[in-house]
Amino acid sequence: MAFNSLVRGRNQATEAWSGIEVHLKRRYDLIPNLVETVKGYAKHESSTLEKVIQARNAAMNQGGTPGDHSAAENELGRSLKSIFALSESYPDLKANQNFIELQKEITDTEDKIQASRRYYNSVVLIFNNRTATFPSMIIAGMFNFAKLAFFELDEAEKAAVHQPVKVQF
Amino acid sequence: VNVYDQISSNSRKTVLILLVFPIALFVTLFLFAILFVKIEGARASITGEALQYTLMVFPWLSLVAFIWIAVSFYMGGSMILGMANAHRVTFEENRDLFRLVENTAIMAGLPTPEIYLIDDDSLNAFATGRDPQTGIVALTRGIVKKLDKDELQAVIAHELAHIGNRDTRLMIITVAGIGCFLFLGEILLRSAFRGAGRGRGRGSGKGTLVIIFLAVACFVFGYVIAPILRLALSRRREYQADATAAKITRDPDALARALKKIAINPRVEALDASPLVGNMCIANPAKPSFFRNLYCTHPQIEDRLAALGKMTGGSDSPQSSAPAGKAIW
Repeated sequence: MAFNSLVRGRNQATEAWSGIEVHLKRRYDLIPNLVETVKGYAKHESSTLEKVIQARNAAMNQGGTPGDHSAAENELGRSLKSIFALSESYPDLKANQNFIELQKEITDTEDKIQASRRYYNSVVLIFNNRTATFPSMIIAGMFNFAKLAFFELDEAEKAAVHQPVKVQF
Repeated sequence: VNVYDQISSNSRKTVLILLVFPIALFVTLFLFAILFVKIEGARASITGEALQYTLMVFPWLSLVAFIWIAVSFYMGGSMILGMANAHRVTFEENRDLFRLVENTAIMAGLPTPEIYLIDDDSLNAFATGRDPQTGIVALTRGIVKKLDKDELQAVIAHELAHIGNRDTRLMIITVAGIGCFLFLGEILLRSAFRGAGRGRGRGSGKGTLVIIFLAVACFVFGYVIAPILRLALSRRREYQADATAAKITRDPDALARALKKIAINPRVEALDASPLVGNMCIANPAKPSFFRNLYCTHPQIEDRLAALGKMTGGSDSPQSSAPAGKAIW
């Protein structure tokens, strides 16, 4: 019984993690489009764009574990924020339909990353509790059920995505 | 209580109800058969003849009930939606709503349910579906318009909790089982009166009496089962769904605000005639009346608010008690 529930818990966590990966991947896919769109309007900002691309590639090349991903994804989130901040000083870009669409898509994807992350973390919490509490911890020790890592993102980033950056002139 | 415990407890209850239903039906029919035989005058033994009658009727009634429940199990969702005058929302029609539901489903770890809008300005919502894959969340136009994003998300999370806990499946089966017999009773009673009106006199008297007895038996079964339904669908499941919703959104406060707003006007006119469907809603959609309260499995909004308040209070109290502690020092 305890063994089964541990296996179930670990499978759930794996499934939840692949749920996050779907949305992370969608974000990677959207970024080149975004960069192309911004390039047309803001030619002098190539260093910012370069940074975004680098952050994206770094995040994409992360190994599978949530712990590795956290830092890279945080970096990517911050660099994306800088693109949206940059759009404030290019009214044409800000009014571009394509850009608006992409911004919406990316915001939605980030919401979904947050949502799936939350589910993943709650599943991991249940699993980790099982590996650390009495009857099941013995089984967990016998069969080497290791604790799983949470997927952490800073909440500041989420807040920044939700509230458009305020720029004063 | 763990979500998985809730699911298995609901699965057990579903099996139990499927077992109890035919047994209770048999007993009810048998008791009525005894009564009938006593009135008609028995030739041999009363119980023997009553058993004979019961065995004659029971297979047919169970067959009808079985088909009825099976049909509503697979199509119950669309039947209820039809009754409520709901229409499906596509991504193109309402992106914001669609995304909100999608994201809430992701948080709950469930597949995205189909979304339906009920054309009514009141505030209500319900969920149905035999399993999470066929889940449906229906919202009134009013609730989408009048609640803010967080509150609406809390309501959606509450409905998703019902789907995830398999409350909706248990609900479909019991509602269909009871509805079937009330419907049968009504049809039999009507045909008995029509029959009595047409062919008065020879021979038809006994047939009419049989039909009336059968109709009353159906009604009694339908209404006797109601208390069992109320037991099985204990009010706890609403608290449970509230708690799960609070856990999904991490915002019990938003749900409390939503419930307060809903309490002002939960009445959906399209659902007035179907009190059993009301059991599936977040708040009772029917006009309040004594008779309907018999079926109502919803706890008072005040009690639910109190339960939610404890959740927010629980997380707040360490902070609020800290200054007090300092003052003592």
